[in-house]
Amino acid sequence: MDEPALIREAQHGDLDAFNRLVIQYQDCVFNTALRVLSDEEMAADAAQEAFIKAFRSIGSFRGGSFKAWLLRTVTNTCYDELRRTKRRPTVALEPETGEGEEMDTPRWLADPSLSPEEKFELDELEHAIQHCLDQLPDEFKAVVILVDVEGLDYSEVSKVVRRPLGTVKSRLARARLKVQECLQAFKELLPTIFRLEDEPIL
Amino acid sequence: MNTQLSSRDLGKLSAYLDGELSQAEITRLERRLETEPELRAVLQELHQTRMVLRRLPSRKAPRNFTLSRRMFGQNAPMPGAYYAVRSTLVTVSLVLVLVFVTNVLTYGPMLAVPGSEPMALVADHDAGAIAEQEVSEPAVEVMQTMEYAAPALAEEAPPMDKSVGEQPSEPPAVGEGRATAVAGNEFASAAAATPTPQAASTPVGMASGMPAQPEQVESDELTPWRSATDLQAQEGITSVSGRVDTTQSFIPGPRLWLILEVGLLVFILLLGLAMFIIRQIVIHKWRTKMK
Repeated sequence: MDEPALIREAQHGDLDAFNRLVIQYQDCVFNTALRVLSDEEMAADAAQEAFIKAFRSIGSFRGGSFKAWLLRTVTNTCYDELRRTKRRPTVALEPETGEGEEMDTPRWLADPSLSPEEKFELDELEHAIQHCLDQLPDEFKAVVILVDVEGLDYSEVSKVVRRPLGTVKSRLARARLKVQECLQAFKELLPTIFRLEDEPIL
Repeated sequence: MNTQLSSRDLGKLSAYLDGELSQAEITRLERRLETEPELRAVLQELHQTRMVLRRLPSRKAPRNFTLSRRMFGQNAPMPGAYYAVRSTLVTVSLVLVLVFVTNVLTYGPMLAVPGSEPMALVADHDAGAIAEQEVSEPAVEVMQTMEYAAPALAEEAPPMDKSVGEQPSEPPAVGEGRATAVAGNEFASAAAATPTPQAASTPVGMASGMPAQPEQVESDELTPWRSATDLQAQEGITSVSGRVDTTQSFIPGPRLWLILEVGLLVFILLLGLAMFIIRQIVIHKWRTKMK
């Protein structure tokens, strides 16, 4: 069944139809939550909560991009979670081992198909990027994640974050600039990343 | 990194990378990029950052997030119609509040419930004055219009209206039951002593307690000079020396406000009932499926 038909069925209360949409979008939703929250458990909880909220309010979906609509739900859920976390700032930013020590290369970053060197490089890269994303204000972070990580276009992001197109454009530019400044600190750690000068821009 | 770069240029460079600029903007920006090395340097930096961000690996969900009915318990998800009715309900409620506030601002707190009379005004008059008020009330607006309009008409009116200037103090012949023929200063003072909100803010012909419409027509036919002023008042003509508050002339009467408010209230109640019915049907179906 195609997506609009599944959405229509879900709007009539068909949970099975909605679950097929969940399976289709759960990686994207989880990934967005993970990049915004920087914590796997919190991201999983936020993704689950977002899907529950989405099913409850799917009657209010008026067409357009369903992915953008779902991402709006998960982004709002993440904002709520971040607000709660800021009120109770007890969560460490780095994942921890069973003994309570911070993991240099978190287990959840591992990909068995990569060589140890590639894995290390990728882990470091991901760690560095996530660290730089975490330095951004929440709304800037969401914009850069939605455009550069999830590949949404500006108009979709504008609907997700409920801000005008011009605001999205300027926030994205400033967020990229901030990330770029932050990544300068990892230049030696991540030499391959900055060997891009020769690549064509467009 | 050039810190002098304006945020607008920065936004354009970033949008240029994402292909979000119009063709005209692209042409302009590319022309600038040819001549401005600093702009090119920033574009290169943004490009690198974008490439780095796009290398961020996509993570798979650690588990399935599929939902079960037990997660919702008895809280069934509502259909689109429910949200449509809810949105309408909110909008209509806001309109009702707006209408009520406008009503209060127009007629004052004493007249928030249209049709009620300010006690202070009534207390100022003895029985005779009240009786006089009953007669003169519908004519107050006519008087005000006459008072303000007459001098201007004397100067500006076309030949037919010249008679206005010639016979300002002559009592007009008015139809029966119509605010009887009190003219000039005497009329003005009588009216000033008995101002009523209806008369002060209602166009001629709309004030409550007004005689029947045919009589109005009759009076208009009898007195050409009155006819001219009445017509001006009815049409809300503003050119009369700026003294006529024509904005008030367009405000509907208290009874209209009352009808509007009651109508909106009934509509809100119907919408609430519709929401309740939809909700009950959906919950019933949901519970049936859970069993």
